[in-house]
Amino acid sequence: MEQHFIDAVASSGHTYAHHEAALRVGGSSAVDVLNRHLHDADPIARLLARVLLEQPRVPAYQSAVAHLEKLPIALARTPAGGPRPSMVQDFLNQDYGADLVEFVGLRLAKEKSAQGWRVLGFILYLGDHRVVSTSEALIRFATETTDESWRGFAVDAVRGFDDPDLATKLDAEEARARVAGHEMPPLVRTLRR
Amino acid sequence: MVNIALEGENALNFTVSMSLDLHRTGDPDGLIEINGNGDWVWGKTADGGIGAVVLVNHDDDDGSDTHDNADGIINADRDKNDLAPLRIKTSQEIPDTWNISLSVDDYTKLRVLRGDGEVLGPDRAAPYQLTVADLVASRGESGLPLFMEAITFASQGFDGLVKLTLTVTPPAILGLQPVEDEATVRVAPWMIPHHGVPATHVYVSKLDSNADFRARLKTEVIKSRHGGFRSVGLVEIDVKDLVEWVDIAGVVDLFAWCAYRGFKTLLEYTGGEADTNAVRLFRDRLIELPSWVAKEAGVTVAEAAGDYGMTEAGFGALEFSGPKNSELADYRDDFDGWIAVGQSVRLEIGDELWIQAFADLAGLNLDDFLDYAGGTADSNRARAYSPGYRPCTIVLPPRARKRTAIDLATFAGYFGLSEAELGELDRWRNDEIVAHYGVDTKVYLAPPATVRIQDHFLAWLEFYAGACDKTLEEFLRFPAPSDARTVAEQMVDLPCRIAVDELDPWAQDCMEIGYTSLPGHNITSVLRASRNRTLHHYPRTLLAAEVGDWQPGDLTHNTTYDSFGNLEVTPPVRGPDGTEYPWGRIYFGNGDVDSQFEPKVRTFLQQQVVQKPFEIHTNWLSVGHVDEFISFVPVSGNPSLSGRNRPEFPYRVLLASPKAAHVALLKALRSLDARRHETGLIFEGRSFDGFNIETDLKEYDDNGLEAVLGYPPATTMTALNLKNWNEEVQGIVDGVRRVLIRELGILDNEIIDVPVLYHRNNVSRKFDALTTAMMNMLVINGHCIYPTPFGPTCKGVDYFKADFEAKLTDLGLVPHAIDDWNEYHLAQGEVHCGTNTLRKPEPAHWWEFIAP
Repeated sequence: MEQHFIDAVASSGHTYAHHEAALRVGGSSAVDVLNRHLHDADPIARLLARVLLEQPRVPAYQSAVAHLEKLPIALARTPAGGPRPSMVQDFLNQDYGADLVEFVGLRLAKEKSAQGWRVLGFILYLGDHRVVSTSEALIRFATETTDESWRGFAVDAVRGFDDPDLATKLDAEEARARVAGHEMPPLVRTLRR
Repeated sequence: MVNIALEGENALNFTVSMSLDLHRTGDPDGLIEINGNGDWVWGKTADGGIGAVVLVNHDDDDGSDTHDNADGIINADRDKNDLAPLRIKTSQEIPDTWNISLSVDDYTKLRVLRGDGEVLGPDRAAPYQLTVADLVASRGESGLPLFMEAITFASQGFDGLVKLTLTVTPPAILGLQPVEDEATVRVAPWMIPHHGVPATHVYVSKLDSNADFRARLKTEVIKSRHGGFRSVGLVEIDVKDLVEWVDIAGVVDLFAWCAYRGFKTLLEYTGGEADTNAVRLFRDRLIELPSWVAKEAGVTVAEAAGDYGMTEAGFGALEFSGPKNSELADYRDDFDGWIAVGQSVRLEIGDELWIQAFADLAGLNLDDFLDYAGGTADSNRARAYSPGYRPCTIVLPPRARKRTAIDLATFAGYFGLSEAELGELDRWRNDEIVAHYGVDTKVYLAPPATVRIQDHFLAWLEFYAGACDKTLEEFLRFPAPSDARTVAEQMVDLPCRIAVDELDPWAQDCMEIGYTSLPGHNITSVLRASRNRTLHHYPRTLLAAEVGDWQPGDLTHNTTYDSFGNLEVTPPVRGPDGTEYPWGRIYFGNGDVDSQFEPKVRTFLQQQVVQKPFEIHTNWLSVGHVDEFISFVPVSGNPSLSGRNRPEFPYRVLLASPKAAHVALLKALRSLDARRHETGLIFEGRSFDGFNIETDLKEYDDNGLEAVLGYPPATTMTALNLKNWNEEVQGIVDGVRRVLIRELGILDNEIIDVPVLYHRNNVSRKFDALTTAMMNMLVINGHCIYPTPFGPTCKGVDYFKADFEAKLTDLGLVPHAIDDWNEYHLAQGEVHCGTNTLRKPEPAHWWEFIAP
């Protein structure tokens, strides 16, 4: 299970989903692993541990994800042709209020290559609730995404949080990025101002 | 005009002038001489207007299949109609030592042509020095004749103005400065004709799925030709000709084996409809070998079938490759991950049909099948199954698992089910669930493969059609073969192709048929929407003499707001500030903060000036197009209206109104005589997603509508839900009403409320029309072809329909109800969305526009 956790933190996309699923159904051994990482140095690892330990919310996570999978199918034949971000935002707000913010933050950080409507819908939803425990996920996403437009939305969302620990979080992310051989994008750095 | 007057030893006295076609004056030759500083001023010349006009010459007069302004020649004689004349005249012979040249300030925007070709423009980006022959010609009665064409419409960074400069340069020895004369031309704007302009053609997509609708439309269009109106032609767009196909001939033999299963079950599965709609998600990607073929390389299909314990092999999923698209990479990873793991997959199965289906798949009776699965299956639970809907579990053998999703979908059709109910899919290892997939109640399996599996089916349907060398239509009528091998043999080595695009029914959304005017002359100008769906190919096919196409935005922008059902124009209005808009004003839905109307198109429209755009709030709708709830109609032919008309605005706005729907609903209920046990209906004979939603009117009013709308899980639309939703929509529409009054200077009583009921789509969380949006209609020459509402009906009277028809008739219009429920309404569109119209406006004197 420990390896699943390590791999989940290190991966993204469907590889991540695989490891997350393994942790989710991993029973007591997974719970032990997750508890150990509640105070991990990596904020995304902490977020992952917190989200997966929230067992009462698991059905909500699953039904939310299942709903989002239906969106493109339901709209494919319409003149719209596909979903748009505000549909995700409205759905999450109407059905879950703020209950899914950490889960969505985690998914955002881990779904870097997902479709724009979904990514931006997640960012809009997080921006609506301004929960500071998700700012690191947004910063991670903004740092790692290759899409400048998405980065801009994520940075704007974080800017609206008024997170008192923002500078510390940015320092940590910048250090992490540097260790990984990357530079923090200039747009993300503007959050320091 | 340049005057040269020198005395003494170098005595000279001559003038050089350039004349351009302004058509603003009564000049017999249509040209006036330009004098002055080169300004361009709106208005009639008599009122101080200055400057000349030029057309974007983007039609194809010589049949070369390119825009005429793509080259530096005059494209056939009739092309001269599209060119603006420019003449240079000199008063007398000019010494060879003097230089006369013509230049423009932007060579990419304007081309000047002589009879034998370009003298300046994109391909000759330098001042043109008049030759001796030119100078000789310039001394003639009509001067040196030149022609101008614009290369592009006004757009981002280009206000449509181009300055011409005529320069007379004396010989250096004289020590004199060059003398210049300037004139400015404005590129004619792209414009949209409004609903009151005569229509000549109606366009509709030709699909198998809308054959009935087309027949009904044709009948009503023919009817609209009566009563003294000019005739209208119906053009059916053959979408199949526009679909992108990929040749996959090399793998035909591999798939031949699966032919038997494919024919009957796929046809039933699709319910007789074939549409590769969802496949468009994979547009612009190559199709590679089906994944399981790739995985089973070196293994014949027969062997594979044997491995799976089946008499026939099923087909696998297609993989679509697109190195530039990360979404695809994700898909491939996901799918591979799913099928590559070696454990059993346990399916919760909610219907005995599935058990039988799997048995059939294996070519076994039920008992044998359960025995077959018994090695790894929880067959006891399967055996324990009894008829009804008790859930049971069956564990599939590992290697059968890869085709599970497809098989389930296939069998849904095989058993005549419109959809198959599945439980949730867990992946098990050593009695422990290692992965859980939330599965919806359709045949789709685990996300994110759900979409793709559906895609594959639709794609395969096309594939089979191609493999049999049949059209899809023929294929759908092809009888199921009795001998799979015979069919398989027939299919081997046949060339195959697969459509990677949808059969796009939304004719309105792909283009806006506008025009652009020179004095006395129009070019029809088809604007291509920034919409990357099949019909985006269509506008270019219309390119012809006097018909051009133009694309101001990027196809890749491709939001719903970029469809041209979201781009309309009002009739002529006078704004509240007194500004006259003789050709109306363009309006469109502005989009969301994160999903906007294409900025390049927005700027393009603004730069055309004369139909100054304004924006409408539409993002409350699932689709978000202005034509879903607003339309304009001309008022004509009813003398009783004369006292109620403002002469300057003989039109009406049709605006959706849940409030009017509520009033009509109550009226219908009141018409029922309880003592006689009279009843009414709403949604008579209608279904939604396969569910019959015909409802007793009283029941509807009391309890709402029990129906599955949008997508499972089922939503019961309670009376309270419906009331709240419709009140919310009314509030939004009231806001739009205020915008229309503010922007157009119209009166409140010039807006007609059209009864429409809305519901909140439980998937998109936006609003959709529940009854049809009747104003989403075709307006042609005083006839209105609108969607039958299927509203509250008592004693044979549909109260929504009656209300709407009474209002149209009162305006002197002729209503034609047409059933578009199955073909368009259920897909969140209506008649207007599914059609397009070519109108023939008079050439516009657009330069007379007086900007505010």
